[in-house]
Amino acid sequence: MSLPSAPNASASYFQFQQSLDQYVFFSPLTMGGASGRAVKIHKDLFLPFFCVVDPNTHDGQSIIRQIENLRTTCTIVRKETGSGYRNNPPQGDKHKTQLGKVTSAFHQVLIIKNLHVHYRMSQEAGDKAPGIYISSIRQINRDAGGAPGLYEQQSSVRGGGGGAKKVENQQIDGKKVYINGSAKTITKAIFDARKTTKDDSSLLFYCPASATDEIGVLGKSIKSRTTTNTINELASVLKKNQKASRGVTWYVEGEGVNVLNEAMKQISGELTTHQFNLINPATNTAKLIETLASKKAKCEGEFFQYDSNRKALISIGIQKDEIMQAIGKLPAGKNYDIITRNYIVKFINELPSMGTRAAAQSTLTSTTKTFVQLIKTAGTYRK
Amino acid sequence: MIFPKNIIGPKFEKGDLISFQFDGAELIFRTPIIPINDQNIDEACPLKNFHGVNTSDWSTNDQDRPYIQLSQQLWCYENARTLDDIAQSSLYMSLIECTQQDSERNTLLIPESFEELMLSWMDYSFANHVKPEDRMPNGGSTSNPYKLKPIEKQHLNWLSVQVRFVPEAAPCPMCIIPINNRFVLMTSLEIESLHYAGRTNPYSNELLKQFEFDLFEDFLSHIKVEYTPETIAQINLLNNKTPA
Repeated sequence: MSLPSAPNASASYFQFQQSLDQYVFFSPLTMGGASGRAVKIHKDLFLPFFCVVDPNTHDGQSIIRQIENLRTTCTIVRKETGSGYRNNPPQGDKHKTQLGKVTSAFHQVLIIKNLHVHYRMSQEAGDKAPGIYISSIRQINRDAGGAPGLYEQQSSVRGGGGGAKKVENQQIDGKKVYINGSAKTITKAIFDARKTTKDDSSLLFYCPASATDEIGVLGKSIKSRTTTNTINELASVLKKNQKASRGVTWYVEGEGVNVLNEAMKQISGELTTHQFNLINPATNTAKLIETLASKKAKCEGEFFQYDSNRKALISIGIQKDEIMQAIGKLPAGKNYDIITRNYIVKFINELPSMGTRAAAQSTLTSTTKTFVQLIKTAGTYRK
Repeated sequence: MIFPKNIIGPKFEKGDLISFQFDGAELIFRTPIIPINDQNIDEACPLKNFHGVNTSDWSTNDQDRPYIQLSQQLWCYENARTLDDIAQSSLYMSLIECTQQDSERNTLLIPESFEELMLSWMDYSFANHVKPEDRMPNGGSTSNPYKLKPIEKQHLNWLSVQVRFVPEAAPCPMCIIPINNRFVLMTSLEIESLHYAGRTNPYSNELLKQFEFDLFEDFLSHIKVEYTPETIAQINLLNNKTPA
C-alpha cells in the first residue's frame, strides 16, 4: 500500500510526549482561550484525513464540526507522571511497555460518521490548560450487509434500478464487469456500474464497505472473514473465466482496485482476453499495471481515468514515476491506442503536480495556519 | 411530516418543485433537497417538455417499453443524536410509454383497463418474486399479491402497489399514475438499513419499513397532475361521466 498510514492509536504516553512538536491546532476555533479547550492533531494525519474527509460535503462538515466540539469536552484530566515516581527516575523498557499498555487504555474515541477519532486529554509543557490531542483516525464505513460477489442488474417494469440478483454460476464471458469502490449498498453500486459502463446489462462485482475499508487507505493489517471472502470470490470469478473466448471488460473503481490487487495474487497463468479499466485507483497502481502486463491482460484505450477523487490524487501523486514506468512497459498500442496512451501519460504527468502540492501541505509547520485550513488549501489543488 | 425517533434528513415539504409538460397534462412534484455527499445521487431529467416526444432512443424496460427516469435520488437519513447514517433511501420516478395499440385505445384513461394493464405489467416483472404470504389465504381470484388499490383522484385514479424488486427483499411501496393516453408514471421509494462494522443499527427494520411507507405517502401528497379541459372532457367521455 503506497498511501500514508495513520499513526498507531495505541502509541504510549512516552511516544506521545516525544512527538508533541508534531501536533498542530485543528482549526481556528480550537486554538484555546475564550473559545474552549485547544484541540490539536498530529501532523502525520494530514494525508489520511485529506483522503477521507472532504470539507465540501455534508458529511465532511459534520465531522469537522464534531471534532471542533471536542473543545467543550469536560473530562477529568488524569495526571500522567511517566514512571509513577515523584522524581521521574529512569524507566526500564519493561516498565515502559507495561505502562504503555495502561496509558493506551485512557485513549478516548469520538465516533462520527465513518470516522473514529482517537484522542487523549492532557496538559503538556506550554499548555495553559488541558487540551485535546488527536493521535489517530480510522475509517469505518457503513453498509447494508450485502454479500460480496457477482451481481446482475434486474430490469423491471420501472426500467433500470430494479434491484440486483446474485450470479451463482459466475459466468462473465463477453460481459462488462464493474468492481465498486466504497459503496454503502448494492443499490448504489449497481447505479455506479450502469453509469460507468454505460451498459444496462453490465455485471457488478460487489465489495462490501467493510472489505474496502480494511484494505484501504486507513485499513488494518488483519483481514476479516468478509474481506477474505471478497478477495477469494473475485479470484474465483477470474479463475473460472480466465480463458473467456469473447473477452471480459473490467471497470475497477477506487478502493475496488485494492481488492483486484489482492485477488490477482491468486491467479496463475494469463488473462489475455481480459481488458482492465482503472478509475480513480487508490492503490499501488504501478504494481497492479505491472501485474496485469505480466499476465498479458489488456490495458488499452482510456484504461486509466481520474475525476477529482482525493485518495486517487494522493495515490497517483506519491507514485507518479513508478506508474509512468509501468505504463511504459505495456505492449505498444496500435492506431488510436497510441494517441490515447500519449494522452493518459500526459494527464498522469500533470496530475501529480497537484497531488504532490497537496501532499506538501503536510510538511508545513506554519503556526498561522491550522489543520483544517491546510486541508481546504490542499483541496483547491484538486482538478 | 414529523420524523420518528430522532431521525433527521431531507423533507419533501421543503423540496424543490419540478414540472414536466405532456400532451394534455402537466406533472408537478417536489424533489427533496439532498445534501452534497460522495455517495448521494441527485439527478433530474433535463427534458421537461414531452409534447410529441420521440422515444426511439430511450432505454427499454424488461417488457421492451421505452422508459426514462424523470428523477432519481439517493440519500441518507441520520440519527440526530449520533449523526450516524442509519438508512439509505432511493427514490425513482420512471416514465414509461405504453404500446401504440394501448395508446389508440386510450387504455390508460379508462380505470378498469388501466388497472388490468398494470396488473399484467406487474405480473410480467414481479410474479416470480411473489411469496405465499403475499397472496390471500384462499388464493385464486381473490388473491392480491401486489396489494393493489386505487388512490381516489378527481379525474383519473392512481394505483398503489407493493412490490419486491428482489425476491429476498421486503415489499416496497410503488405508485402508478396515468399521465395521458401514452405515458404512465411509476414512482417508488426504498429504504435500506445501514450498519457500521461492529455496531447494530438502533432503528429496527420494522420501524424503518413503516418510515418508508409513511415517507412515501408524504411524497405522494406532493405530486400533482393537471389535465387540460380537452383531456378532462375526453376522460369524462370515455368513462361516461357527466362533466362537473
